[in-house]
Amino acid sequence: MSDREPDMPPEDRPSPEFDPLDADLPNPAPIVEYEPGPDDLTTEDAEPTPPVPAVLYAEVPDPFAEGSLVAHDRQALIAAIAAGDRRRGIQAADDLVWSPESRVRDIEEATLAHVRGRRSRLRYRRIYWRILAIALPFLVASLLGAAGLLIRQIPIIGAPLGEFVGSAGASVGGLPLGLLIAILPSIWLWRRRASGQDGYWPRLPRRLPDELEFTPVPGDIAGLLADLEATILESRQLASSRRSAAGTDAQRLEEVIHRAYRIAHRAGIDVAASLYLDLRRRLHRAGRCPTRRLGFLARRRVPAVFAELVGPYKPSNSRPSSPHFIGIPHIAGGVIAAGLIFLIAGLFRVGPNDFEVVRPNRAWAYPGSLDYLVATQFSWVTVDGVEVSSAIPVDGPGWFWTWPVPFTRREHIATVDRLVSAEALVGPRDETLFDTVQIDFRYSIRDSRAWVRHGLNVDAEAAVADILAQNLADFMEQQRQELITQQRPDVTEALKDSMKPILESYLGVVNNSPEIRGLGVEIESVTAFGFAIFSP
Amino acid sequence: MMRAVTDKPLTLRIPLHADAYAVLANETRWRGEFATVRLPYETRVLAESQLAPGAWVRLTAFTIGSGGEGGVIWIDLASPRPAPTEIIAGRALLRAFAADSSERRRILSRVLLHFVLLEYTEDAERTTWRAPALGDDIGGALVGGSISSSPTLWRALRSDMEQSRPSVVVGLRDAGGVPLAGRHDGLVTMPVALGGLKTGHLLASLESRWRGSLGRFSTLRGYRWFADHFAATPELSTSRFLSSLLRFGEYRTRHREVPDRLAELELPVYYPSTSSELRSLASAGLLPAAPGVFWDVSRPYGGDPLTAAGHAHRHLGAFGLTALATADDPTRRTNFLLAATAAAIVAAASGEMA
Repeated sequence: MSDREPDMPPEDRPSPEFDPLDADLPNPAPIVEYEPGPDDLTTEDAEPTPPVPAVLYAEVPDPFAEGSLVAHDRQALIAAIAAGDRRRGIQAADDLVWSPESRVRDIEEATLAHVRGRRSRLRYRRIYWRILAIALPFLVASLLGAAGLLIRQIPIIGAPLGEFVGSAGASVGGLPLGLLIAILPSIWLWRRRASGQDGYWPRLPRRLPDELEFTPVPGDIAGLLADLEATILESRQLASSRRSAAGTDAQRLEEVIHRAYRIAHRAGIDVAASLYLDLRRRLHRAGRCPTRRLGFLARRRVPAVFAELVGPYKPSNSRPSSPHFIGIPHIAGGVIAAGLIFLIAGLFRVGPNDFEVVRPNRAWAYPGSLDYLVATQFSWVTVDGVEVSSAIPVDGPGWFWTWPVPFTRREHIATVDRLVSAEALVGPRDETLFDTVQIDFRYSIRDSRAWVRHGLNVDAEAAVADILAQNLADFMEQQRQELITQQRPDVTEALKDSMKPILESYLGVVNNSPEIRGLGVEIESVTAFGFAIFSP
Repeated sequence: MMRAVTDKPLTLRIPLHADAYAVLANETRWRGEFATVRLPYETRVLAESQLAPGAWVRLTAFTIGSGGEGGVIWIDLASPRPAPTEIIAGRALLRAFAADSSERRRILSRVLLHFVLLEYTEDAERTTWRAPALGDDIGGALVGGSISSSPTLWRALRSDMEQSRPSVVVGLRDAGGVPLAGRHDGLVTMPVALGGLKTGHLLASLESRWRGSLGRFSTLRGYRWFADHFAATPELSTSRFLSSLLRFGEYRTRHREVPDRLAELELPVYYPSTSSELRSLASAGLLPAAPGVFWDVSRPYGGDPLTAAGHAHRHLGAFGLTALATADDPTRRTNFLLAATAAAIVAAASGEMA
């Protein structure tokens, strides 16, 4: 922003060193080559003016109570401590004598301890979240599995979508996609930045330098104190007999402190302005209406406690506790929370009309991977001889715990109200058009171990459909042969007419079939049937 | 239930149509009108100086209003080289506040307006105005925000500013011709003191804050992050108030995050729309606070001290604003300067700049 117009005439174009803020001469001096002469005061005999220290201190009145505060720019102080700068500037009134050494050291030690404590807290908080991030995929996989069961209830798209969601995408993309989806929230949590406002504070040394160098810096402190008198009196009156302020009280105080900030700026005491600006901003926070959430819920309004506001500017012997005392509860809390997540991820409930099938991980079937806990009886069930193809049904009702996904694979299977469709030929086999009957049966699972032997739930369902279709076809052929023996003229039509009693008699015998018994199911009823003509 | 009676929100519009622009640009017609316009103002010549051979300029202060709770608003129209748009904006402002209307009386009962205008003298030679800088980035526009480079004029300006003790200082500058912001009407910068450490951290991490979850640039996310991060900062509410006024020309209680759609009468103010623009802003020390409004954090104690706003903020603790008109069309640039002034006056009179 310090450039000037390109079309400005050369005589008016300011030199690069020209600063209009400090210009008191009518015309800026021309730039000439400078060579020090023997009479020149700026030769090596003259002492150069030392630069103003980066950190300045000034004693200014406390706006909330009797007494004074040691004004300074906190960020400049932190930067100076981080850089190991020992020089400190003191702005004091000529007639006011105060010993800055002990007060400044107190303030700086408190600041050092505070910043180091905050940095440690942020670091330990990050560790806490990262421990949780490690445990989170188990919970995500478990919750997705539960969500998949619910999605299966949706007609038409429910089954494939529920399978996809329930397996965290592994049904489509295999284990890599399943793992990727399960760890996505953990990636977010791992990369989560510390939300603290002071995350930018640099790393500070453990101790302050043994000796600080104090330099007097000119400043019209007496003039500032005189100008501030009325404003400080007003703010003290507003804050009198209170410990904190919120709402309109904080707003009124904020206005007065803002006035003090402007007075400090006009007097050229920047550290005082910095102090009052800091107080003003924190009062503004207490004075504003809390943010509304969901229209009616609002955050709690936090009042500004005066002692906390002026704390950083008051010498004090109290120091925050060691960062390690803060860190140990964070790490322990993280481990406990991760353990709880792990426990919750393995927990499931089995109702009276369903059971859970637990299988080991495809890649690693370690001994004991199918062991489970009956939570309601608090008994541990051990399963021996575990291989990759092993599976165990866990029958309810009750609460159980197994190793969570992906250490195990799980299926939740309902035992009742299961439907299967079977189709059988009712006409002769040598015709060009085939008459068929399609029947929907309701069945239930009686033996969960027999069911599990057929593999995954879909494989077992397919086996039921196949075996039932074959069994039904044999039964229909038997009925047809009986009608042929009776020399009925139209066997197909006779079969169709008497289909209902035929199916009732079928239901009486089907469950005695060894194939059906081997499936571990019981065919309960026919829900619907219909005829169709099939052209090959 | 009875509700308490509250003040109606203040409104102030000073639009300038093309024919009115031509009238104000005509020296002869303006001189005739000026005799009437200047009557309600307290007028004081602050300085006379020479910008180039024969190019004499006069710095004049015009004061009006009573200065209530809104304080003193010091409006600086004294750029290093007076642009026609700035001169016409100054004339339009003088004419607007000289006219009698209930809304203006209401505003003037709350604030004291102090216009400082730099104009060529009657017999002076006019120099051709050119854009302050021709850079591709936002720095080109910011060059136009600087204070007068003439020591005589600057001394007079500084002295007048210190005597007036303004609570708000508004610098109005024509920065037309900047390719980056040329398709927009302009932008407003305001110096804010955030401290050295915080400023450095914010400027370095600005780009990452404006990325969406998939790493793409997101204006909405950027402004939302800024609003969350500075929720408790008084300057944020002022910025959003000003942005609402600048974008719509009237006070709207509901803040819209980004100018997703330009409504009628809405000024298309400048806001960063790409990562490279954000980098350019960060290198210039600007933080996008709200559409059209940027925080100047180029110095730990506030903004650039070589602007009237930055100087007032640094040395007087005043609230500073620099309005930079960047549109290609001079009428649009003048209108932006007028809209920015109106926004600042309404904000100050409404207590939003306390």
